[in-house]
Amino acid sequence: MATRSVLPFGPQHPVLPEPVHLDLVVEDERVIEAIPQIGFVHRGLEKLVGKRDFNQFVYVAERTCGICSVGHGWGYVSATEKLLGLEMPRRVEYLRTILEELSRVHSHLLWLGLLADAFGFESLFNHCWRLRETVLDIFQKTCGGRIILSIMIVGGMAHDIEDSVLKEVCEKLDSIKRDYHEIVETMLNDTSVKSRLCGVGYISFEDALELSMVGPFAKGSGVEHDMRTTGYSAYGDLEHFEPIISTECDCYARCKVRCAEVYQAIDIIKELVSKMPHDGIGGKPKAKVVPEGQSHVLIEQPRGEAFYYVRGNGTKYLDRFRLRTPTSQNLGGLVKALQGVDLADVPMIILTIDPCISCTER
Amino acid sequence: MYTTEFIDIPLRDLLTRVQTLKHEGIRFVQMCAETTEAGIDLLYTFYDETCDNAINLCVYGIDETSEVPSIQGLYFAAFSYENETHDLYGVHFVNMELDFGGNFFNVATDAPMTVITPEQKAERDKLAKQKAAAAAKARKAAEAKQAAEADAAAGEKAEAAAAGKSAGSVADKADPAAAAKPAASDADAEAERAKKMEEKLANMDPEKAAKVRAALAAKAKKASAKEGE
Repeated sequence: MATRSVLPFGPQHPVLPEPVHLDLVVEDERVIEAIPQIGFVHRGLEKLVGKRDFNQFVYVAERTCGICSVGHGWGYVSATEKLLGLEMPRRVEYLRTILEELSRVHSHLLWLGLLADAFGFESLFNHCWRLRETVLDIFQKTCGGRIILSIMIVGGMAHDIEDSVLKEVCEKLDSIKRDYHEIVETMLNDTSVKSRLCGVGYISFEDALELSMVGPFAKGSGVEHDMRTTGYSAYGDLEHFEPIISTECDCYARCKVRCAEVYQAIDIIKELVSKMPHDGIGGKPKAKVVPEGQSHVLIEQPRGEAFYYVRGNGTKYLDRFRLRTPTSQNLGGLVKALQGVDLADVPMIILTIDPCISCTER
Repeated sequence: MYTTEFIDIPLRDLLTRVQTLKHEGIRFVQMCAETTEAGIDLLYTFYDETCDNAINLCVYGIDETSEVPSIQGLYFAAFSYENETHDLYGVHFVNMELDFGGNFFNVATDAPMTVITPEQKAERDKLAKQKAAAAAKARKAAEAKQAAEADAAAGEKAEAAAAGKSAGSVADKADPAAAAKPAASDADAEAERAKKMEEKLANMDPEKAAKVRAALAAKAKKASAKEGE
């Protein structure tokens, strides 16, 4: 008779760049149940709305995470602008969307590098991160920062990005696309990659819906949910946008979705640059206080839908800022995906979910 | 673009409403809490993909004794939010499928998010004072307007009486009671004004009222000295 035992997985583990703990109930080599635990590096950033006024808080929101910095800054300023009743110039929306899509490219390249590293493909890891460096160079040239951009402010952008610079960005993206194509083809067509990812970590379409999963994790199970289809910000001006989905429902499907999203992001950036309006970049709002009320926005980050909620009370300090990250939402899916899998597959399943603990531990 | 709606519901209706949303196939987005003076508010967000509508259910005034029904049975993804809300706000959930018993977040203090920072408190107090001052100003303006109207009415009466006096001075001499009428009405108006002022002073801050009384006394003294000259 097989014996059951509880195997602790993390918070320190070679495959985990950030601390998350899983109690794996295993029977022989098979995982019967997984219980996740977070909170090892909880920073209480949401609480800082009580110490930083609504203009200053942009810098805190951006520092929630290094990978999703653009998205967090954007989500926060959008929610606050909604509460203040501000309408942004189209150029601001275009620039923000371009930066978010660049962020998607660098986030997916980072993830692909980590996945390659977990397979033992160190050279592939280096190539992925070399390409990611190009995107970080773009950030440095356009915004001044490589990770924390500090270009978004409540009411607009801190400074403009010139059209000539945006054209250079497009040229760089073309070269990234060529190199990326080679890397992706090598990775996705590799036999060992396929044998370790195909049919592993299965989550059915029904389960994905039931567990309210988001992002490439859900899209890999055929769920077409993508906030960009609602046309918020500049996404509504795109000629055609359709979320990338895959119906295989396994780890390989999630990888395919992420890899294809990089191409899609590059196309979006190029289209937006070609349509760039010239109606100003807004500026700091005249309002010194945030009115009483509440608002929220939903945006599509690289890892999926993120939720930003703000509540004002008539003072310069917000009553509440809430950030719900895609990883928090996908924890239920992670628990489900780990049920019944081989112990050796656990690291791969976790990696294909691409958890961002830094955001979750806001 | 999607639409947003906020719906206030009592705690007892929470589970029923969530069941209805689940039955309609609406996706769960998040749950969060917020500390207010009246207790803790909970916000449940759902997203209706069919019409791109974000539905927010707001439950107000949760206290330490409240038992909030868990929605994990309907939406398992809520387990992380419910455990987080328990650890950071001290909200008590019942019938949780996955309950970490207060160990989901390893925080040093219990319910750290219920603490209001000194900066926030100072701003809130300042706002409350500003609101009270604005209300007092509005009340004062209304009272001044009322007093001005009363004065105008009394003035009109006095003018009418003076006109009557000049027209029938003979009659006035014959009837001393009629001559005393305008003087009596002036005295009445004065008494009415004094009464109103007393009422106003009674509602005022005692220190401020004392200052106003002193100013009024000085004014009266000055006026009587002028009359004496």
